[in-house]
Amino acid sequence: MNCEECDASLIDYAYDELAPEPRRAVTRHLAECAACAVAYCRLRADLDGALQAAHEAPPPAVRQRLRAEVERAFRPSWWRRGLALVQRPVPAYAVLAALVLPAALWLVRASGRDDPASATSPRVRGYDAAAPPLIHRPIL
Amino acid sequence: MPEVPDEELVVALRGGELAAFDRLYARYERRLYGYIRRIVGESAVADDLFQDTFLKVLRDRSYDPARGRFAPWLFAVARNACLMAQRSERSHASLRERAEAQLRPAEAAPPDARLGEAARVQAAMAALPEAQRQLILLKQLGELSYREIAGLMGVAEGTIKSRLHAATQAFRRLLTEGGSADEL
Repeated sequence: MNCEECDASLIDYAYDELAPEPRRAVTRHLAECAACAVAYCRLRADLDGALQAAHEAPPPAVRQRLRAEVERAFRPSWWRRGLALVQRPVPAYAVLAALVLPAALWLVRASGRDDPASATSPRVRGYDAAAPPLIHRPIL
Repeated sequence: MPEVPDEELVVALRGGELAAFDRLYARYERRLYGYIRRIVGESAVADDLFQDTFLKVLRDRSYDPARGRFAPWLFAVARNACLMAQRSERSHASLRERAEAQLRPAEAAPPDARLGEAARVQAAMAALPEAQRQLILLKQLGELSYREIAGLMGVAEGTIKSRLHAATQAFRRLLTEGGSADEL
């Protein structure tokens, strides 16, 4: 590639519109030719300047208004949110179980301790250890 | 971590994931607002057009993320909205004049030395004919390809290529010589 051909391709090169092979040819030429490299740097600087000058952020109020509108339009309904919660991946359930199981065990134990009846040993009514077994008792 | 494509973010947003909007907004706010502002000039009008464009694009189910890039769609809608706004103005010429006056550095007071370069670039952009300015903005801010701009404007890709070359050369001439668009 000579300087004339490079110059003709420079804008397309800067706009990233060249096919891979011509692009490689321009890159090679720019690496070898100082004059074309300087011309490319100037073009790039002008285009970057245009880009920087054109960039402009909207006022924050515009973002807030837009965000509110988007929320209204796209926020999923309550049943969809519930469904999404249920469809969460398995690790989430494992974490939930790890949190809930110890709490449940603690509650069961704590409720057992509060009941005074369960604190004493169970009583069996009508049992006499000294009485003979039923089989040896007279029936009539 | 690779960046999530715009199209996937649109799908996620339509599925109710509001965080996807925040990411899309961060990507496009400065580019889209800058584009609209350079076309219509007035900030109040630009605010409304920016909001309407963004909402329209996100709500419009006719855009299928599986079939095309998001950016060309967004900028096509923005361009149409700007054209409509310009048409609805009673006097297109007065709108353009106001836009240019707003974007051109004040003649009475020379711009701050630090802002000199930016002001010069803005003046050169403002001095370009509107069609050429549109092309440069779509290429630079929209990051659209020749093919995408051609599709948006309904002309051949080769036509866009030659027009964009001419626009770029005109812009650079204005930048270095500080001439007016009449000389182009």
